[in-house]
Amino acid sequence: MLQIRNLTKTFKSGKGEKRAVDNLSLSVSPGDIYGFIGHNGAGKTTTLRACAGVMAYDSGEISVDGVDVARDPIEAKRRLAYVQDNPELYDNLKAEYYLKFIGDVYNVSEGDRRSRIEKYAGGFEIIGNLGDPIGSYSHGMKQKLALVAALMHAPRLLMLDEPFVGLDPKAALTLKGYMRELCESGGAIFFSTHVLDVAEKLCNRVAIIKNGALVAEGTMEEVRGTTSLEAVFMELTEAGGANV
Amino acid sequence: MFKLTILYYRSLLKPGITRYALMALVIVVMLASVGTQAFGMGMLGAASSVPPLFFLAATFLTLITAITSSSKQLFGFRDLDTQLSWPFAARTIVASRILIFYVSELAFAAMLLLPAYAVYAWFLRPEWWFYPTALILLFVTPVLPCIVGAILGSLLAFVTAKFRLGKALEYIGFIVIFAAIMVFSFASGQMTGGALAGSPVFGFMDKLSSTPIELFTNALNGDVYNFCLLIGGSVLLFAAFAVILGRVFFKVNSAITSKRTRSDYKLKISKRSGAFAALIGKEFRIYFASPLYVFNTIFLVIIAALIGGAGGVLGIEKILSLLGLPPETLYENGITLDQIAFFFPFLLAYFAALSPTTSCTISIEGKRLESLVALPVSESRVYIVKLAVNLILYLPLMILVGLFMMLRIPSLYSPYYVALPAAYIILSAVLGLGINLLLPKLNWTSESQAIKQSASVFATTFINMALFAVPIIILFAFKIENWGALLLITTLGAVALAAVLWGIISAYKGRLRELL
Repeated sequence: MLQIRNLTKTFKSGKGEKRAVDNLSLSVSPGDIYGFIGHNGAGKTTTLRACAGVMAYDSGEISVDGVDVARDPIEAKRRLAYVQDNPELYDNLKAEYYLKFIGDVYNVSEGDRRSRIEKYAGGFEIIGNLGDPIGSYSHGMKQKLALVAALMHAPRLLMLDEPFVGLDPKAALTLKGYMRELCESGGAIFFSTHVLDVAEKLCNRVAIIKNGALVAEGTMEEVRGTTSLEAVFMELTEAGGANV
Repeated sequence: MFKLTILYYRSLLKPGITRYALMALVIVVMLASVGTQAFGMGMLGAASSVPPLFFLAATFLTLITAITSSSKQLFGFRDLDTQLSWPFAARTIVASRILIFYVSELAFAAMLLLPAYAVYAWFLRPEWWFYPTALILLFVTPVLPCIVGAILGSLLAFVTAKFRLGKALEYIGFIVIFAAIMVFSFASGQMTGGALAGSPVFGFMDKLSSTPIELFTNALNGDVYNFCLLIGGSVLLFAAFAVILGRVFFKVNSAITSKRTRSDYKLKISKRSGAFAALIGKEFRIYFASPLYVFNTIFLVIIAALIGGAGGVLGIEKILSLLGLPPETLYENGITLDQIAFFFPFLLAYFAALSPTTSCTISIEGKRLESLVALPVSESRVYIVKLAVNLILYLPLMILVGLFMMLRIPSLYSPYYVALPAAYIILSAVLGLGINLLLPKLNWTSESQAIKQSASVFATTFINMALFAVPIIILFAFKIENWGALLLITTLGAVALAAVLWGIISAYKGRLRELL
């Protein structure tokens, strides 16, 4: 579903260059809930943004459902949905209009919109607020709205950057349910998180990134081994930690 | 207070000499433009009237800008919570916002008064005390308009927040206020030579505008009593305003920034639209949701339409008389009606195209740009939609006005009442988009930073001014005789330049991604 091959991205600044992602390769298959874990500034968001087609990269190949993101970004974007860690929405628009806008852009039929909005907005308990301006929403409600908009067009690949931040426990549980459901229907999830417990319970595959490079990748059992994901993460991301 | 204010201005700074050079150029051109008008009045022997007249103009200009921007500049700025968490008293934060608001209005007043003072000094060679006096009077000029504008702007913002049709009421409120200002400025003695002073309403308006002008003029001429009255009164008013606002700031801020919610929505699915229609619909909603954006752009188009409409209804000769240029005097000097009519297309085009919506259309996306780029729509489609909004708003109105003028003011150059403004509107729309892609401001905390204070808006205005000046300069510098040919070449040239610019913009792939 998602193939990343030798992805490299360097940021130039006045003080020199920073290699945010260094020759990264990984693969997300249909049915995978793939956790992407790393310390702050490790390169998780950069990787996600490159996969979502919102950021150019220096070298490498990224394909979504067989479509090269660099060569055919529009087609690739049709197959995926990307929710940022702090989604910036249009405060002056009403939520219902925003969902209509997303539905129109992704060509979702009216019947599908109704059923999916009822399901996802109902699940997140924000149906009653859809008539209000987005500017009146709390951070958590904006996060929920962004998730509803992402799920509404039934993406093949759902990419989430820290999706559980700002969600109340009930909404977090609801989201986990939707993630499993999407994967059971043949889709895949690729998400970054700092909440290792969630990753451990939810993900079947995980990658740990440190300073732009993968230090561990594989099934949860392969990466975790006989210890916990937290222990493995701390060992690998401490200075001089060995790769798994 | 100064630490917070300096922090604000430092946050606006960005590396790169180009934007500052452009901003400096724009400021110089605007000062030169105002100075030229003032100099013209000086040449006609009216140098002593220049500062009072420009004081009146500065007062109205700062009043209008204060009304449209006060609610955004004083209230609802995104980093308020952050600032409140710092060890500053709340009143310090409020004072800092008032200072920032005042400084931005002072800049507009300075644009008008500094050239006026220069012309006055050039022609009348005043005593040494004129200069410090004039400088001090510059600082008090925006005080009253700031206060009145802040009150009116905040009231309108409060109405928007509280009522279901608040946005529509806000726009109606703005239109009523601006219409009142236009009528007031027209009816004041300065415009009509006191001709309307005999009627009760206009006489009152005349008196109302005369009092501050009298104070200003007397103070400028060395009247110490009037000087102290003006300074003292302004300082006291400003201090009172700051104290009162400091007391009610958080209540007003909550009232203005709280959004009306109902939380009783029943799901209903609207008819599906295509992606292009969805994008255009979204752009229009974003545009009309921001009165500051609307009045900073379409206001000038409405002025152009009013000029054209007035010209069509009253005729050129009547307009000239009202402007203090009796047509008989012009005819005696060998100037024909056709020659006067030659300049009408330029006048319409100037106002209609000076401030395109595209000059900040990328900036207004702000941090939402990433969400836009993540959508399955091409860059060129995004650009076309943004251009379309500008053209849909500006072109139909100006074409109608132009056609009306063609019927009412037939001349050799009638077709250009439509063609030239249309050509310039197209050119300025593409130009604004290109400049905003080059100089976007995405990290704004208040819309006014993107709409009024950005390098892109300044640069677009400056380049538009220069583009208007080119054919006029050519006309007089080369003593062109075939004015019709000049109009034709200018019109075709504007369209051709727009096509070239569009080619460059659409050829540069990936620009939106680069901005993220």
